[in-house]
Parts: sequence; structure tokens; C-alpha cells
Amino acid sequence: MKDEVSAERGSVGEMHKRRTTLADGRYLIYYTFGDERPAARGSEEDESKRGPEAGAEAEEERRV
Amino acid sequence: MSELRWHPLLGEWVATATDRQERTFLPPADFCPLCPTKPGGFPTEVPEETYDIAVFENRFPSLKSDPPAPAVEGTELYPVRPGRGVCEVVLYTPNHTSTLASEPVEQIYKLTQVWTDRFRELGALPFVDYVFIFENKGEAIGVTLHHPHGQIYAYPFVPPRVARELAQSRAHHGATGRCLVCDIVAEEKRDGRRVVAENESFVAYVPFFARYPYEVHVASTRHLQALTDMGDEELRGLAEILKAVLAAFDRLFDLSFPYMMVLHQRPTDGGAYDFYHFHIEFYPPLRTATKLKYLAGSETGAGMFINDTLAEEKAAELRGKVLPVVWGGGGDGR
Ligand SMILES: [Zn+2]
Ligand SMILES: [Zn+2]
Ligand SMILES: [Zn+2]
Repeated sequence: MKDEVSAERGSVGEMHKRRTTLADGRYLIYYTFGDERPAARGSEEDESKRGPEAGAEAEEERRV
Repeated sequence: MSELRWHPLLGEWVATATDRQERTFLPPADFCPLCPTKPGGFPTEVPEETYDIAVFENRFPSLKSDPPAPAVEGTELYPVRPGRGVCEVVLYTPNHTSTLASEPVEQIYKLTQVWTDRFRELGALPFVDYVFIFENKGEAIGVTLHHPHGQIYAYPFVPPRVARELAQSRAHHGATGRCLVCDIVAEEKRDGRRVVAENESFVAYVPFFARYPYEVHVASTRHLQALTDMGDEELRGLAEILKAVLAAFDRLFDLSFPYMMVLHQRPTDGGAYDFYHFHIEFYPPLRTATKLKYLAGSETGAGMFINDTLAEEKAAELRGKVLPVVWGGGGDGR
């Protein structure tokens, strides 16, 4: 059974963490890894555009 | 409102969370709040156009870092306390139609690193005694958002299921001088019939005492208590065995297999838990491709599970669906 999980392991770059604050004060953290282009940096303007109505459908989240 | 009410009969806390925010803007029918926000599109939970893995505070948390005072006053019989803690959502991938099972092993390895970081950061909060990482997957579990994601609850106490495992592990260690999960792993490996997959660092098995037909536990072969105790090779090994088990689940009935996945780690309350042992448990609700296992009177009212299958047979079924995990092999390993 040991053979069922092969060991040719590819490379994943180092983890980077970028903490942002949403318009309603909650945090959102982007994790990127060195092998990929980092996500575009969000500007303050971008974040301020986000109204409290954003993602209202996430009410469903409590039931996930 | 979110508060904790004491259940004196069971000696445990029940969270009462009744926030229901008014929905003022109706999003489009196919709107997914967990997808990245498209340029000019309806804003989702994630303002940027893409992400790799993202973590955010749940919009409707049952525990909050700065909770309001409880809505009712407690009594001596019925203590009440604020629901203080943290509830996070972990987005596994920006790809809406993916699942953890169909992601490349590299993405699962990234997720194990994010889990480790969340465990470390949330566990360091003074009011967090336990960091609980989990995923509910599939409509059979009641999940309405299909975007691949998991959750993290940071509790202000050690939750009762974990407390019971801790007590059993402590008692076993006291009686034998050995770790309970180390003994379970050794017994499962010695017997072999219930082993589903293994690699250098982890073993996956349908435990002898399985309560669900396709219940699978994944335990580290090295005695350790948390993700933060693992080296890089172990995190890679964890990603590999998770990929192997998740893909086998999906191959079983050729459908996207529903499950609850929970990580059992040591508490973060400052206590010593050297006797405990990290593991992951999967509770799939399916008995067959079309039949669900319901938690009925005996399970819910008495706490005795009735499993109408044999762990040895279910493990053989799953083992027959395990395929090699290939790094660099891309996604959708079904
Ligand atoms: Zn989505
Ligand atoms: Zn152990
Ligand atoms: Zn456990």
C-alpha cells in the first residue's frame, strides 16, 4: 500500500500572507505562494468601495 | 446576538446565535459570495479579482472576538456568558466548480500550511482555548454554498467531544504509559484489514470502532499534537494522504462524496497535552450511493451509534479506489 502514494513531490513556493480589512471591519487574509504571481494589491479605494450590502447572500454561510 | 448558555444536564455550552441581517440587495441567482469579485460585477466576500487561498471572518459568526452582552441574565442553574471566539471561512480555491478532492495535491499542501498558520495565530489569542478546523461538504450535510471552502471555529473552551478524547487519552497514558492514538495506529497497521492508504508520515483507516459506514481517520505515524509540530515533509505527506482518501471517496459511487471533516489537535489553553495525538476524522453521511445514515433516536438520544456495516469491508472498498497521488499531475484526480 505504500506504493499507492507516490513520492515525486513538486515544488510549492514559500507562503506569503497579506491581511486586509473589509468595509464592515472584518479581516480577510490572502495567502499566496512563491510559485505564483501574488494577487493584485488592494488599494484603500478598492476597499472603501465595498458597501455593507456586499455579499448579502452570505447569510447562507451560517448553514454551511 | 451570540451567547453561550450552559446545559446543566450535559455539562456543556450551547451557542445561541440569532443574528439575521436584513437582505437589502438581492444578488443575481447564480451569484456565489465566495467567488472573487468580477470587474464591474456584484461584490462578493472577496473584493479582489483572484486569490489562491483566502481566509475571512464569517459574516454571521456564532462566536465573536468582541461579543455583545448576553440578551438574558444567567442564574445559578443556568449560567450565560458572551459568545467570545472567532469564526473564519477558508476558501480553498477561486475555482467555483472544484472540490478539495479534485484539487491538485499542491493546493492541498498549501491548505495544510494555511491551516497551520491559522492554528498558530488563533491559538495565540488569549481568549481562545481550542482551534477547531473543519469542513462540511455536500447538500446531504446541509451545505448550500458549493464553492469549495472549510471553516474554523476558535472556541473559548475545550469542546466536549475533544475533552472526552483528551480524558480517554490521558487515562490510557496513565494506565499504560503509552499514547492511545499511537496504540490505535499500531493496531490498525498490525491488523491491516482496515487500512485505506498510508505513506511515510500518515496512515488512513476505517477505525475498528467506526460509527459511520465510511468513517475514515487519518493519523500521523509520529507522535505529535498539532499541525505546528509538523515538518515540511509531514505537511506534504498529509496533503498526499488527504488527496488519496478524498479522491477514493469520490470514486466510490462516482459522485462528489459528501462528508464532515474535522481536525483534532491539542487545545491552545496553555495546558500540557503531550499525551494527545493529532488526527483527522471524516464522517460521511452516505451508506450507499443513494441512502443516507440518519442520526436517529439511539445516536441522538442515547449516544450509541449503530453501524450496519463492517469496518473491514468498507475499508476494502475504499482501499480498492485509492490511486497513486502524483505531484505535478494537476487537478481532478477522480
Ligand atoms: Zn464560487
Ligand atoms: Zn501518539
Ligand atoms: Zn478524534
